[in-house]
Amino acid sequence: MLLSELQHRVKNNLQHVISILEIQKESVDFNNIDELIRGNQNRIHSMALLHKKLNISENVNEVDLPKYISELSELVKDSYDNHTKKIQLNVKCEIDKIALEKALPIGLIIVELVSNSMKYAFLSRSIGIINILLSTNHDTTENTFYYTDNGEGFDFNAIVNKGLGIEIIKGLISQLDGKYETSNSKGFEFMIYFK
Amino acid sequence: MDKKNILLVEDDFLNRRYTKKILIENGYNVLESKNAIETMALLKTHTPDLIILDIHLGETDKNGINLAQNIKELFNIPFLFLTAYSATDVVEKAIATLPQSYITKPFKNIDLITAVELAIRQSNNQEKRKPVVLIKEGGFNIELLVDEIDYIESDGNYLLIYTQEKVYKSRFTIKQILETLPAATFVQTHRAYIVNKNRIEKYSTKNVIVNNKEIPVSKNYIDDIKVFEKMRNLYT
Repeated sequence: MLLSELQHRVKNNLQHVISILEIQKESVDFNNIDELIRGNQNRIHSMALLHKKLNISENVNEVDLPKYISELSELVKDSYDNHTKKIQLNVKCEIDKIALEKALPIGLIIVELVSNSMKYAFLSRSIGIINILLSTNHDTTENTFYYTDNGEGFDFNAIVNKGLGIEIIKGLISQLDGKYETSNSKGFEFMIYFK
Repeated sequence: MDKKNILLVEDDFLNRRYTKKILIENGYNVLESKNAIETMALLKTHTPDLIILDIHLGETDKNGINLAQNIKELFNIPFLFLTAYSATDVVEKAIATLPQSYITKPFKNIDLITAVELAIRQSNNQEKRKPVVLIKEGGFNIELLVDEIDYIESDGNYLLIYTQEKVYKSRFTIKQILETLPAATFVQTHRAYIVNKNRIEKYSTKNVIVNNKEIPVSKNYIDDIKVFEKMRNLYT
């Protein structure tokens, strides 16, 4: 990879960190310091992992998506897991490679969703279950991101003023040029469709 | 004082949200767009005071530098670049579009805000001094606003400069006057003709019509005109 391209990526990532920290400032009134730092560490990890999973040897812009999302979701889960109850995380990714431009918003969406489940979903459950499934429809080439947890669910479209998580998720979906659907019939269900 | 409107073109949601926040906190209105198509659609209905352009615009085929060229051709709106690119080849291409500024990420808020404020003030000044071309007629100097020119015809040793009101006769060559006119507005259609693009009413591969006058288009210049017409058809 060209050194100039590498410099570009480093600078872009630093801008990201600055952006994330500034945006987080808006939620200080709703969160304690531990939670603020943990949230930001996870978001920064999502970027660091992204570069680990980038195929630099062949000078292509592609990320090993199965490894990326399984390691990332595990990492976010662990950051919240106090082992007082069993949390089961199932990740399946049928998309082998994806462009860096797509992997970045997908990673950040996973951080937001897993954090949200870990913080709120399992309060009245004896076991917590999170499922993440990414697949491609080979006829339409449309990708599906499917996320569920067995918590009580919440109304995704009623704007919650806490932590900005939902606003960030919506913005990242728009960055993917994607559409989403959500349901609360069995726990929290969330689908994103993108090309 | 009225709030100034800034169009922020950035594909990355978090960076766009952050930059927007900084601009709003400093008293600007912010319009947002994430790629070239959205930007061109927005500019049909809005005229921001300044456009902030990222260069890398996701996987789309058009980057911020291409977009800047289109904005220059079709709209008279000042713009600056805000990008993580600092490689010489990219910077050179970007500078060639004559932006008001080139700011690299990660940026300091004060650098962005001062660049934005300076760009807006400078473009206000330029509006007051609209481009003119200095012509001599009958021993007098005349500062003719280039906006008023419909077309220019070469007539032996003279140029005939046609405006709505009158025709000026001046001792220039086509080549000399072409160098002084803004390239975004004027195009040569023929060995002996220069036309104000904004006055073209109709066109074919053989002629353009300006102010009901048929002006010939010669093969040697057709490519220049095509580029302009193609873009106009795409975006208007």
